[in-house]
Amino acid sequence: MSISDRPSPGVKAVLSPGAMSTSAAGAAALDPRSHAEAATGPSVGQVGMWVFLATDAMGFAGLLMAYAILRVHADQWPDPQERLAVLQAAVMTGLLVTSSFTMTMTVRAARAGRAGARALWHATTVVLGVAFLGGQALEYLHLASGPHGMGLATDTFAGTFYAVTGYHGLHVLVGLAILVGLFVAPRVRVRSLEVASIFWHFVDLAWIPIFAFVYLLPVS
Amino acid sequence: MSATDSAEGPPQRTSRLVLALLALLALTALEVAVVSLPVDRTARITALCGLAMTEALLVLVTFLRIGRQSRLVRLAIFAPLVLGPGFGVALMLDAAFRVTQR
Repeated sequence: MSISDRPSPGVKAVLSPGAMSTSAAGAAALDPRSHAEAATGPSVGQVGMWVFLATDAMGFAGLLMAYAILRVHADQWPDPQERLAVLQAAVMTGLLVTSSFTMTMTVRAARAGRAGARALWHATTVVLGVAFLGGQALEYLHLASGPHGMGLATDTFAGTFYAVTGYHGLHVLVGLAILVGLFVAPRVRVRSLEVASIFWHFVDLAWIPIFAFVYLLPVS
Repeated sequence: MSATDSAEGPPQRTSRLVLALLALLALTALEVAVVSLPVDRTARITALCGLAMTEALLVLVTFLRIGRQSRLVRLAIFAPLVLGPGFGVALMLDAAFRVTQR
């Protein structure tokens, strides 16, 4: 990314007064400006999202690092597979990964100007995201009311588990709020969908090490 | 720089996206299978790390299209991905050293 006084065409498209206006006409329609914008370079939103995600990735890395330090230095660490529903978490992983695929299809349909297909893929992504969050809520409920009665302060394992998965869950919630907002918006710009998709793919990406290291990593 | 189907590049073929999705689902299933294998713990952890890193790389390449991003963005994404496991390995080595010194 080169730094220049002159904004790229894509940046210009976003900064131009016309690009900032919105219209309430035509529910869930694609903004006609979208096609012109799609053919240009990066937008301010995309650059901003990448910068935000670079810092957010550090947040996830810090949490996983803290988890690793606490786990390595603990005298005893319970087997995650005994406490956690690994198969359920695997299904949740599948849902999130599939939602990344449907999000990609959403952007593709929007770029092609197919509003109907875009709405269908978009709705599927939202449903998959809600299913993931629902699975996480059920998991928390089961853990809290199960035989171990695993609360936030039960032990270090429980504390780190809730912190790491809860932090990720909040990201999913924010991503869903953005997706729902875009879904119900009267007009949707491809640029907005692209920025949202970057965030959504990142949420998917962040879950992969969580699933591997929190749910699956075997104890000695 | 863009998200999916970058403005700078041609759109990905749907078949490639479907293949990537199937590969991701298969990798997830493999991760679950690997940890329950009756083999040495170190081998299981190595396999698990390899599968997880492959999965993450697949998401980066296919969905985030990292190959089409600028060098700075790629660096910003890869730095925590490389530093994280690097610190993890260092911590494990440190822990092993401390245990042997006790």
